[in-house]
Amino acid sequence: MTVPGSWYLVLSALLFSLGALGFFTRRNVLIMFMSMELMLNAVNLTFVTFSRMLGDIGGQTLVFFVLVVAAAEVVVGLGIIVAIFRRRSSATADDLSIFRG
Amino acid sequence: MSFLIAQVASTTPLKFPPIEYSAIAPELIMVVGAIAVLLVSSLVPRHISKAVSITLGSLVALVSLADSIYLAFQSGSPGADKAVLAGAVALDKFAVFFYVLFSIVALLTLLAGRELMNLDRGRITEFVILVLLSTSGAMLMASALDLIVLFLGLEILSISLYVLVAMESDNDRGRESSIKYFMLGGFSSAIFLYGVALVYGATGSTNLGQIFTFLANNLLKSNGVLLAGMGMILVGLGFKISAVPFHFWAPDVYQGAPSPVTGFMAATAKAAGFAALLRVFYSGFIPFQSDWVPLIGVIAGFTMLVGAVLAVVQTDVKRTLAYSSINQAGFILLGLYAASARGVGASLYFLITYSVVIVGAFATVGAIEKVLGKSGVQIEDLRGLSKKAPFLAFSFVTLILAQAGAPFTTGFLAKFNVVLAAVSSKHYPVALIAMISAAIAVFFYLRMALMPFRSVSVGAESSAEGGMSLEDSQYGGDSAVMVKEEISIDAKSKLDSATVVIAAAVIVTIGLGIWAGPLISIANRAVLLF
Amino acid sequence: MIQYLPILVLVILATLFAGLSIFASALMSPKKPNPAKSAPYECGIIPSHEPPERFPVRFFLVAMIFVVFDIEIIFIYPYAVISKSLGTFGVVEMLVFGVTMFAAFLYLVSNGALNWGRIRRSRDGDSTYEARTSSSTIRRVSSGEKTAA
Repeated sequence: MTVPGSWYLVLSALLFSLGALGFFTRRNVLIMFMSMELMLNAVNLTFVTFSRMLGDIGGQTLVFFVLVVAAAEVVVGLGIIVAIFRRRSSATADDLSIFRG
Repeated sequence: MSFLIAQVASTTPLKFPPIEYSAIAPELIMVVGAIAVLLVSSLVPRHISKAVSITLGSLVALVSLADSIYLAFQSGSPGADKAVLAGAVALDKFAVFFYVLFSIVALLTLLAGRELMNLDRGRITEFVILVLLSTSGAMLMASALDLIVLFLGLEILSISLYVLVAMESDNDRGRESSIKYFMLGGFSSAIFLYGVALVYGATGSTNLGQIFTFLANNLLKSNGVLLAGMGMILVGLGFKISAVPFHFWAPDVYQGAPSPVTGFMAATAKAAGFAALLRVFYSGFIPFQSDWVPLIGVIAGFTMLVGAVLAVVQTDVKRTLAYSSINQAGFILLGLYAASARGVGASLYFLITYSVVIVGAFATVGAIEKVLGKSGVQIEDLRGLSKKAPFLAFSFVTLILAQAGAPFTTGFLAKFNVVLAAVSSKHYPVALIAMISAAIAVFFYLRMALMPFRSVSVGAESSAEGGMSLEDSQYGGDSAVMVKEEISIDAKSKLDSATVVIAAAVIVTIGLGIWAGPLISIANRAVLLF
Repeated sequence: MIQYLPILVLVILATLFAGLSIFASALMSPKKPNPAKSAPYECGIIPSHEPPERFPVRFFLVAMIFVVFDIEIIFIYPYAVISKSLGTFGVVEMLVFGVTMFAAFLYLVSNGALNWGRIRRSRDGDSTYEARTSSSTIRRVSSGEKTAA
């Protein structure tokens, strides 16, 4: 039994929405960060699915670039998070309260 | 899977597209220069000094600027505009225009950063490297003809910026705003990328040229996926240019970041965002013009109004400038909304003048922070600045008035042309909103511009002095030069190259405000397509 | 296929029941939160300081370096697969790529990212404070106010 491509598209759309939802509802910076990664990986799934549906290998090579960019983002993001929370105790976005409004 | 294996298993030599290295030379110079500085700094046993690293970085930026200007003269010849690197990168007047702009901004930022960044020993090298790399990303964004190349440029630009915002030692605000910027930047990148994926699915390509051909030749039966993709690309780029309703990160980040970085971010990141927006929508999605142009109009209207109104209630100088820059973004969008060669030309002119003004303005704020010896200058703190530091006060007032659109500065023609383009495209409601928001904006600009002339004890005579200051700034570049020389003598010890940056910004702002012809014609020639 | 239907039905029923219970309890339970109640430990003692970190921050640094190098591999794999048909051009490209990576690595090493050094104990002084008495550390739940110093 083959799964039609549109299912993958729906799955990736769901994953993307879940990531976006997690990004806005979670307060822990690390979990927000993970939600972002989930969104990026949903995009990867979309790329691969479309690549498969269109019979065009281009979409799959794009995934490489997205993966690398995501990794670079992880490194920089973790660096900033560590730099901030070395001084503080917890990693919640609510603690980031120097700015208001 | 079979097509994949078939492609992989063939062992015949691949045909490579020709690679025109000269077309991407400005980017290459920036990247190679950054890596060279990196290597030098890691191979030299001790930290290389501030002066050396800034000099190296400025040299790289200068070489890149020279090459960009060379390319600009090249691209003047007919038929010079073309897609290179298998259609992934454009070499046209539009790209070259932004090459020049970004090189100048990088140079100014490096010079301003020398005195105005509070960095640990050796960290200045990282500042130089990151500015160069992030500029190369911005250049790539402006010249990209492929959505994925555009995305790579966007990320090179943004990831370097995240670090730049956080890198000052003992600046908790900087780190906090960095993480805000990082989170929302990453989020918007993900949205942009999903948009790219959807457009890829709908059109079968990420190349803007091919997307254009596809959309022009095929009538899509259901264009939901394409429209969603276009919308998400617009949202993703809207974050980068801080258009309302995607602006909420901007004030926090602008306020928390070190001043030279804020100026760099406000100029480069915003200009790159606009370049990408123009490129994607005007050369890829132009067949769907009727779908996205009204949307840009709505965003432009809200951006202008919200930026102006919220700026009025701010008390912090950098925060006010942030809202002001949101307001300015609305004006630039207005030019895009006009959807004519005239409108885009006006937007480009606005962008280049705005970039110089904003870099100068934030450098001035940074210098004022140094003079006052505190971070986070409130508007009230500016009281009496004209006595303490007349040069800084004068440049601050000039650059603020330029943003307000005062006559005899570049800001006046910029705003005027954009509104004129909107009117000539018969977009009367949004043009009206633009004028209203400009009027509201004058209020907070004047409040900031008058403050340096008020005495420290609550003064009642301020209005008279304020009137004089307005006149002063209107009368030409001569006084700018004079004041600059006078001050640079006594401030020489602390604020050497920052003074140069501020003076350059002021001179350009007033000089090109009076002698505006050449820049306007350059901007008009750099427009895409029309 | 059809013989699995009961399992599917069971899964749906279980999910529905669990969801309904959570929803119902959220709907009907009284909610009177106060700072003491929403604190991580509701036993009344305010922690004087956070427990020590489990591993030094340096761990993150090494992990980040690892992530970068790990990811670079994904460019080398596709190259390896078609290295023959890419020819000299491919080799040169990979060399440029490798040199760039190596420059970054050199910078990391020169900045001491790989020096483990001595592990500093995260012990900021004595863990007994004179100010911490039973009256100062115990929260009065009724008022919901922090009374600690």
